[in-house]
Amino acid sequence: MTPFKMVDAHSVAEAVALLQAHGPRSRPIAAGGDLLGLLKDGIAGTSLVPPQVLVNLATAADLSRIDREAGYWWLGAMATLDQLAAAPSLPPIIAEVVAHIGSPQLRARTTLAGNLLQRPRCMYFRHPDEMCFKKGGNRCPAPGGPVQAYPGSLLAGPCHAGHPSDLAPALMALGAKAVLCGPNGLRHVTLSELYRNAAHQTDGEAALKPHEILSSVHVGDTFIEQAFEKIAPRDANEFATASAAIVGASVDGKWSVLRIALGGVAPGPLELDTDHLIGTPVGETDALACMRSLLPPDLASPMSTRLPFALLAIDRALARIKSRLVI
Amino acid sequence: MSHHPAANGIPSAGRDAPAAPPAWPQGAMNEVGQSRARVSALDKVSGRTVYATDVTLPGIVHAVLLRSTIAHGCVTAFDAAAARRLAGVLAVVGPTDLAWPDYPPRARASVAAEVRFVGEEIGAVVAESEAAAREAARLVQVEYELLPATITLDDALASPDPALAMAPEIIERGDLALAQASAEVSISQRYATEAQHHNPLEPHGCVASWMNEGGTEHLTWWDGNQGGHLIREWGARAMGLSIEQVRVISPYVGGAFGSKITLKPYHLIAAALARHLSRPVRLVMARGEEFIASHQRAPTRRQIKLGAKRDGHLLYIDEQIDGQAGPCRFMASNAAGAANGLRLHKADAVRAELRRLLTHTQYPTPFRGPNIAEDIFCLEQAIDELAHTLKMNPLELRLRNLAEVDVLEGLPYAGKQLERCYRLGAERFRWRHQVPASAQVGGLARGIGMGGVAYDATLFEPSRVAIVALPGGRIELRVGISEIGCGADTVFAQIAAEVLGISTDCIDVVLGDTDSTPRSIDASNHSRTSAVVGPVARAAAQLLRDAMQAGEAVVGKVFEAERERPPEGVFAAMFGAHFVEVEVDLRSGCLRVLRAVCAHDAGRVLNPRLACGQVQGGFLQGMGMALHEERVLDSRTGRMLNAHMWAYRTPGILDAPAHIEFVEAGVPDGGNSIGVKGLGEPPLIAAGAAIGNAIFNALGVRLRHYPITPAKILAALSKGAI
Repeated sequence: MTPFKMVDAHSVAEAVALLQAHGPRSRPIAAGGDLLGLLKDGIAGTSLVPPQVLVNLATAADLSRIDREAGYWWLGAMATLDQLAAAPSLPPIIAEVVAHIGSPQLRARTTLAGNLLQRPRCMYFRHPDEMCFKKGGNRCPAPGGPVQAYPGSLLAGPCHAGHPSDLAPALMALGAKAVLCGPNGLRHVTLSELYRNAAHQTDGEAALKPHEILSSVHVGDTFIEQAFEKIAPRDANEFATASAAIVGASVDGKWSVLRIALGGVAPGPLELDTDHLIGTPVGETDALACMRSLLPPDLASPMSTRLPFALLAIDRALARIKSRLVI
Repeated sequence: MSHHPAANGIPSAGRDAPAAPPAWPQGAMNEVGQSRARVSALDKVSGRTVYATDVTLPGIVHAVLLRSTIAHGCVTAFDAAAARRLAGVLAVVGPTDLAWPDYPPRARASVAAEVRFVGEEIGAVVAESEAAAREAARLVQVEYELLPATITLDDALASPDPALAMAPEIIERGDLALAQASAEVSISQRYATEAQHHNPLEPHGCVASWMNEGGTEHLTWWDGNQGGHLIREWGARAMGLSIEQVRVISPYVGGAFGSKITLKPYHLIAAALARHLSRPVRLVMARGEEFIASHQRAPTRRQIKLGAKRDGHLLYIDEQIDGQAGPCRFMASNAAGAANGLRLHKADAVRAELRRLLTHTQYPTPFRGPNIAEDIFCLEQAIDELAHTLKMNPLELRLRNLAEVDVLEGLPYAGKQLERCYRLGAERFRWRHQVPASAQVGGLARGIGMGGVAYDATLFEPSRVAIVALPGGRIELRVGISEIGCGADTVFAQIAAEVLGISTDCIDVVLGDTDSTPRSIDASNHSRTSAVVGPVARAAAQLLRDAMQAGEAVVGKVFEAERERPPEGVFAAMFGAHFVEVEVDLRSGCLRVLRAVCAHDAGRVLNPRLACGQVQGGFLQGMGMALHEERVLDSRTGRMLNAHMWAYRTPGILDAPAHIEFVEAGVPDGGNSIGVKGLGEPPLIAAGAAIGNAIFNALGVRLRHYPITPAKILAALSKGAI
C-alpha cells in the first residue's frame, strides 16, 4: 500500500478545507471498508491514483448524527449501518436493507456514505494487473472474458459493472436527496441526479465535484408501502446479483405513487421510469411492465445473465407491496 | 493408485517390523472412544496459539515475492531502481541477482526468468516491514517476452500441443467388451468439475533463520505445514545441507487441506534471502497470492459410461478423464484419478483412461480427497442416472452391487461396512424413493439424494513415536507430525492414556518440531495419521508401561516404538454414504441444503466429538465445491480474476444446513491393532454427488458441471433438458 498521511477533520467544513489544502492527491476516508481494500490490493490507474493524504471523517462528530428535521430525516454520512438499522421511525425499508449487507462486523463499522460511494465490485476493476475504463483505461475488458466474470450491467456503455450498494436503490426509491458540501457551500441533489453519469465517470460513480463531501442524506417522512428484495448466491458477505427497492401507494386500486430502483445491474443504482404505470390498476402490473422503459433495444449486453434476477427481485418486491395495498 | 511424494525413496514398513499386539476390544474404552475436548481449543479461540509467522526474532526482516503477471514467457528486463530507493527496503532481487536454489519438482530454480503460469516466482523484495516490502514490490518494473499460452482445459483438449502431451494412464480390470455385450441398459454422459482452492485461514508462509554453530551452518524454518520431517528432508537436499543441519518447527497450522504437504519454492526463497542478508526472514503470502501461488484442485472433464442388467447388476464402469495438470509433470498425478471410484461398487469390468493435459496455469496440489472427490462427485451422479434409467431406488441399486473383494488389488477388505453406512444412514434420514420433480410447491422444489465414497487406506511408511515420563509425573508423547486442525494433539494422548490407565489430561503431546520428535510420518495426509501413527503411540505407551511394571526407573528415559507389521492378504479402505435434502428456488436458482446425514465407516472412532467436527467441516467443504467454488481464469491472459474472498465463494455459516448429522457406521477395522481407518477426506468426497443427485430429484433436470450455481440451474430449467 502506498504510504499516506491521515489528518483528522473535526467538522464538515474543516474536511472540505483540508481537501482543498491538500489538493488532488487527497481523499476523504469514512470507515475505510472499501478504500483500504483498494489501497492494499494495489488497485490503481490514471484515474485512480493512490491518495497521499486521507482526510479522516470519523472525527467529525456532526457527520454521524441521525435527526428529524422539518418534515424529513437527516441521515449523517458517517452514521454506521447499525445506527441506521436501530434508529426508530425511519422508513422501514432502511433497516430491511441493512440486514442484507455484509456481516455484523461490517455493519458495525461501515457508514452510510461509504456504502453509497463504494467502487464497483467488478473482477477486472479489482484486479491489480488488469486495466479498465474506470481506472483510466480505454475500454472495458469484460465483454471478451469468461461469462462468470461478467460484472452484470444490463446496459450497453463504457463500463459493465453492476453497482454494489444495497442502500442506494432503497434511498433512490424513497426519493432521498444527497447533501453535498463543497468549497462553494451546500447543494442538494436527488440520488438519481447523483448517479446519472455513473457509467461514464471515471473518478467514481457519483457526481461529486472536486473537494466536495457527501455530508448527509435527506429522506422524507414516508408512510407509504416499501419493500426491498436482493437476489444473491449466499446469505451474507455477498453483493447483489440484482436487487429491487419499490415504494408505492394506490388510490382506488390504481397506482398513485410507484418508484422502483435496481441495484447490481448497471454502473449506478438504476431508477426505472414508471410514469406509464401511474393511474393503471395495481393488480395488473408485473415485473416486465416495470422494466419496459429498459427493454431492448436499450438492453445491449447479451453476456449479462442478471436480467432474470432483476425481474425476479422486482416481482418479489412488487408482490409484497401489492399484498399490502387495497386493490 | 496414489502417486505420492511419500513414496519417494522411503521403504514401506516391511516384514521385519514388530508384530502387532492383540486388537483392542470393540466399543468405547476408558479414554479411547470418549469425546474429549480438543487440547488446543481454548488457546486457539482465545488467540494464544502461536503460528509460524507469528514468530519474531531479533533482526527479523520481511520478504514479499514477486510473481509473473503473464502466463508464459520470459523476463527480459527487471528494473528495481525505484523499489530500492524506498525507505526500509533492504534488497530487491530478480531472477539473475542471486544464485537461487533449484526447486526440482518444478524443473526450475525457485526463482527464474522463465515463467509458465501467472503467479510463478520471478523475484523477491526484503524490507524492514512487510508494508514497505509490499509497496516496493509494486514499484518493480518487469518486461517480458511473451510466448503462446494454453490456458484452459478446453483449450488444451481442442488443440493439444504435442510438446505438452503426456501418455495416458489406463486402469483396466475384467473383460470390458464382454460386459458391454451383455448390458441391457447403458448410460453415457459427460461431467465436469472446476478448480477448487484450499484457501486455508492461515496463508502459506515461514520464517527462515541461519545460525553458525562451531563452523557448521544450521537452518531453521518456522513453517505452517502438514509435517515438518518431509519439509526438512526435501529442504536439506534442495539447500545442499545434511538433514541434521535443518530444523523445521510447525507449532500449529491454521488449515492446510493438502496444500502444505511438500516443500515449496517459498521455503527455499526465504532461506536464500536469509543467507544473503544474514538476517532472519519472514515471508508470508497475502490472500490474493494464496489463490495464484499453486494450491488448488485441478479442473477435470470426463465421460462416464455405465452398463447394467435390468435387475440392477452393474456390468461395467468405463471412464475417460481429462485433468488440467499445469506446466510440469511433478504434480500431474493430481490432475486425474479414478481408483477409488472404480472400487466403490462391484462391477464385472472397470476401465479408466486418465489423460493429464499440460497447460500454462498453476499445477494442482493434493486437496482433501485429491482426484477422488472430482471422480466420485461425477461417478455417483452417473450411478444415480443409471438408477433413474432402471427406474430403481438409487439405494437399492447400490445395495445390489456391494463388492466383497477389491477390484483393483484382488484382495478382500480388512473391514468393510459400506452396507451398514447405506442402511444406518438411510434409516436416520428416513430415505424413501421419491419421483423426480414430484415435490414442488409455491416456486420451491425439494429433492433428496445420496452418494457413496470409498477411499483407500494404503499410504503407509515406517513410523516412530517416543514417550517419556517427566519428573513432575506428567507423560510426554513425542509425535513427529504437525497438528493440522484434526485433533492429533488430543487423540494420541487418548491412546497413550488408555494404555497407561491414566487420564488423557495427564499427557502432553509434543508435535511439530523435527528436533524434539522422531519421524512419525512424512506429513499428515491421505486420512492416515491416526491409522498409521496411532498404533505406534499405543506401542510406545506399552513400552513405558512394561518398564514401569518391571520396576525399572523410567523417569526421564525415552522409549521409542516402531510401527507394527501390517496384516497381509487384505486391503484397507474407508467407506461412507451421505444423504441430503435440498430446496431449490425455481425462479432464482438459489438453493439451500436443508439437512445432511453422513454415515461413515472410519473403523474405530477415537473421539466422537472430533469425528463429528471432521464430518461437518468436510461436508461443508464438499458443499462449497459442489455449489460455489471455482477459479475464474481469463483465457486471454491466464490471470485468475476472482482471487478474492468476495469473488471466490465459500459457504458461510448462513448457508450451512441446519443439521449435518454424523452416523458412526464402522466397527474396529482389521487393518491395524487399534482398529482405526480414517475420516479426514471421505466426508468431503461423498457430499457433492449426494447434493447433485438431490438437485436432480428436486428439478427433474440433471446438472453435470460443478459448481451447480443459480445461473446454471436457471439455464437448465429453461432448456428443460434431462
